[in-house]
Amino acid sequence: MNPLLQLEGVSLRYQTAEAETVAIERLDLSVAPGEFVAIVGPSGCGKSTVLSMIAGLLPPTAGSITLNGKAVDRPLPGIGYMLQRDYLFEWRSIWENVALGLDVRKQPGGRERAESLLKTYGLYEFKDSRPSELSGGMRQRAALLRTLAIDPDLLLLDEPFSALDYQTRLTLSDEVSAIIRKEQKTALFVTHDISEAVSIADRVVVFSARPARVTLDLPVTLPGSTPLSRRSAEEFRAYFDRIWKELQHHA
Amino acid sequence: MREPDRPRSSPLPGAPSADRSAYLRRLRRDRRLITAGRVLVLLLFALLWEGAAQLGWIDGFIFSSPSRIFTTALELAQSGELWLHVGVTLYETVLGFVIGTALGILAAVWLWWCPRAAKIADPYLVILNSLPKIALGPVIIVWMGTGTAAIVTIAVLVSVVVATTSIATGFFEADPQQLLLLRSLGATKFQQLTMVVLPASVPTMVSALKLSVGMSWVGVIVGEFLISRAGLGYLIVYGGQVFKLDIVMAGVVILCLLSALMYYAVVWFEKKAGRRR
Ligand SMILES: Nc1ncnc2c1ncn2[C@@H]1O[C@H](COP(=O)(O)OP(=O)(O)OP(=O)(O)O)[C@@H](O)[C@H]1O
Ligand SMILES: [Mg+2]
Repeated sequence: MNPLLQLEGVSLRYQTAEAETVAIERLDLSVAPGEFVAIVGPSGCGKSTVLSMIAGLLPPTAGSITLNGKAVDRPLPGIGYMLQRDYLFEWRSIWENVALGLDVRKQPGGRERAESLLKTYGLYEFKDSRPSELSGGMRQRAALLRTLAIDPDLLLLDEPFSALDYQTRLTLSDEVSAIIRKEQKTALFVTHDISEAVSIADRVVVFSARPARVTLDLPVTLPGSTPLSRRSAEEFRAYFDRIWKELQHHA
Repeated sequence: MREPDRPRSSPLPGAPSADRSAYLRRLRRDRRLITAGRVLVLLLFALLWEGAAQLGWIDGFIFSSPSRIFTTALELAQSGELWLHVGVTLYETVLGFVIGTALGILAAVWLWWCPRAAKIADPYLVILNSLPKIALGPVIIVWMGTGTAAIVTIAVLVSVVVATTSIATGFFEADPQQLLLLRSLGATKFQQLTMVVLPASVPTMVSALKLSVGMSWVGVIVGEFLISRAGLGYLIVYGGQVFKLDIVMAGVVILCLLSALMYYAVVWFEKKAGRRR
């Protein structure tokens, strides 16, 4: 199958007045349609940088990034980016927040979709609330619906649960994985948490320390349909150890 | 409409406990005491002043007195003179305030839009901010003549720099991650302005408005001092020149009332804007 997303020889150097930072050096990565790929790597290795480039917010210094064969040279409509925190706008209601992308892109046609997302995923009764009236988990769920409302082919998730407490994190990762699979989206998911990566993804990609390269590309097949049930699978430990060793080795 | 500070969930269903009623009673009593205290201070001050003038401790001709101020204000009101002056001053102040704030917002948008321009302008804004703009009054009169235009210009001059710098500071403090989110959705620069920067800066803009109101009053009164045709500033100067301190004091008291009124208008606007957010 043709990949949905392809990175070939991508490099990125940050320039500041003080120094040049080589964040990414000749990175190759491809993601097939429908795949759920997790990226893990040491802190500061360039994971967020890779997502920013795929989101079209940061042009690579060298190499090419294509989505469906089309060069990513600006934020493309086919890509939805979800950040570490929800960044909901307090001056908009939950409904207006979820419809943010539709407002920006002037797509009034997406309203029905957005409304049915709210209904399906249990936020409809909060549609007129302000973000501050929602709990952390619900806010992050609203942020996911905001990303889904624009109907992207590819979802980029940058540590979407790291600001939440452990219990909310577990339930939300179940929910998010269910939502993303149900909506048949492709996802690229950055996390620090190896267990989270193994439990949620079809494939785990391990990055080396900066400049980031792929040191391990590990397909994960576990019985169980939800991340929580996959955590109790027998093979879970083996995947965890494999990734743990890889990270230790390159740290 | 939403209550402005409604708690997330009401903690007490049904009747409030005895402790809570006692607490609420204390709270209400406290509020009443404070209001009474405020009125008392004003009354005492007026009484002391009046008494001192009546008993001859101070010369009522030079220091005036509440009753003399009141009769003077009444006379001015009956002759219709007062309304003319109040009208002129109010008109000039509102005009100066509106123009000054509008220019301030426009300038701030421009600075936000071109960060390089902001960097170039920065030292000049700092200098302009510390310069007493009133010093330019005589120059403005030479340029603009001795009419309303010159007075309004002085008021604008006094308020616009503070408005610009404080509003621009608010704009630059907009959350970069929220802007990043918006850009990832393909937002244009104009959309970033209208969807994040402006709504996020409403609180800073309101406090800038409060500053500007005060500044406009200063500008207008100084302008009227210099130009002396009409308005409360003129009334005050005139009273001083003909040595009628009652007129001066009446002018000052009315000015106090008006500026308080305008300040509370802005506060009211703030409450309204706050509720919408
Ligand atoms: N705008 C920038 N200018 C200069 N250097 C930067 C910039 N953004 C990131 N860097 C540097 O590039 C490297 C990669 O940063 P990035 O945020 O992509 O890492 P990360 O893997 O997402 O880290 P974390 O796990 O902490 O989120 C870091 O060393 C960082 O200091
Ligand atoms: Mg990061």
